[in-house]
Amino acid sequence: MTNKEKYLGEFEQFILLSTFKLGDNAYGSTIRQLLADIIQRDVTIGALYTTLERLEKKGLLESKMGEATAERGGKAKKYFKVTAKGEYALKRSKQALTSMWENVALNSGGYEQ
Amino acid sequence: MKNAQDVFSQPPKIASQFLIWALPDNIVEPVLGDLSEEYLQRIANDLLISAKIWYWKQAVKSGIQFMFKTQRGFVMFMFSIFLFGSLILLLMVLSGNISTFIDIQSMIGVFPPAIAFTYAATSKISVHQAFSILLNNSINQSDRAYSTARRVFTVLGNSGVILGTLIALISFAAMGANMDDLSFFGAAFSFSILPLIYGTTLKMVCYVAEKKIENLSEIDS
Repeated sequence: MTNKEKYLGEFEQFILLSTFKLGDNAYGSTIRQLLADIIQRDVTIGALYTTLERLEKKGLLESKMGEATAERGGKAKKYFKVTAKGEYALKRSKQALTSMWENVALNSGGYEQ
Repeated sequence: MKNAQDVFSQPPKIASQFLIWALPDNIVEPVLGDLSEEYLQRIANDLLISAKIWYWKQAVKSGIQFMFKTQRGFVMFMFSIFLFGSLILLLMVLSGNISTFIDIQSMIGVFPPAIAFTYAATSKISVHQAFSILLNNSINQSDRAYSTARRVFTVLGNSGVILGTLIALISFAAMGANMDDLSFFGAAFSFSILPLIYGTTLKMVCYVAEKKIENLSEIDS
């Protein structure tokens, strides 16, 4: 990866991290639920798959079709896994953010949510 | 026979069909599976109506997001029809009174017979296949299927124009035979020309459909 290459977007990072955390159980529904539980972001399944497909095309994720179950109406799961390139992209984005945060002391200015 | 629980546990069918139509083929199965799975969880923890609303929201938002990529041809076709309809409507409104252009008798005289002629001149299967190719933007059809689909819209459009002209001519003849009082001429003429307007409108829509199918067959070849 060259230095000129863009860093991951915020949502891309969230999805890669969710996939990473879920390990062997990372598929559309579980990724969606994890995002809702941890960062309270209720994404549509369409938006999620758009990003998953994009990350797969970039080579940051890989997928395989899984088993079909009755509770899924007989439809198979599509499991995702972070590739070595994906892990590298995540590390690179984290390092960039950490570097940018160095020596930054924020004053909330009285703003609290 | 399905019991009530089975029926309730099924996600809304129309929403699922919309997703099947709008999503790219490679993600239809996992997306429908994921939604079914979460729908069942929601039924177990929440009200049925909330689960249905959630499913519909997911289907509509996701479907719209993808349909501009997967069904671009159909969307453009519908957009052109909408634009054409809006333009006609605007012209009607600007010309004074929109009710002048609405005559149920003329509509009944043009549209149902034109559809009946199309069924008679082609076949029920051909008509359904023609609309299926058009609405699903489907390629990978045989040359014969494309040519039949084109013929369906040609027959439908031409029947509309011929019927419209015929009814207008009959109206003119009747108008001429009963034109004792010329003060009624304007209103009578206006009504007699309406079938021709309806027929031409139908021809216009069918012409676009015909060209759309021609384009699909060229993409396919």
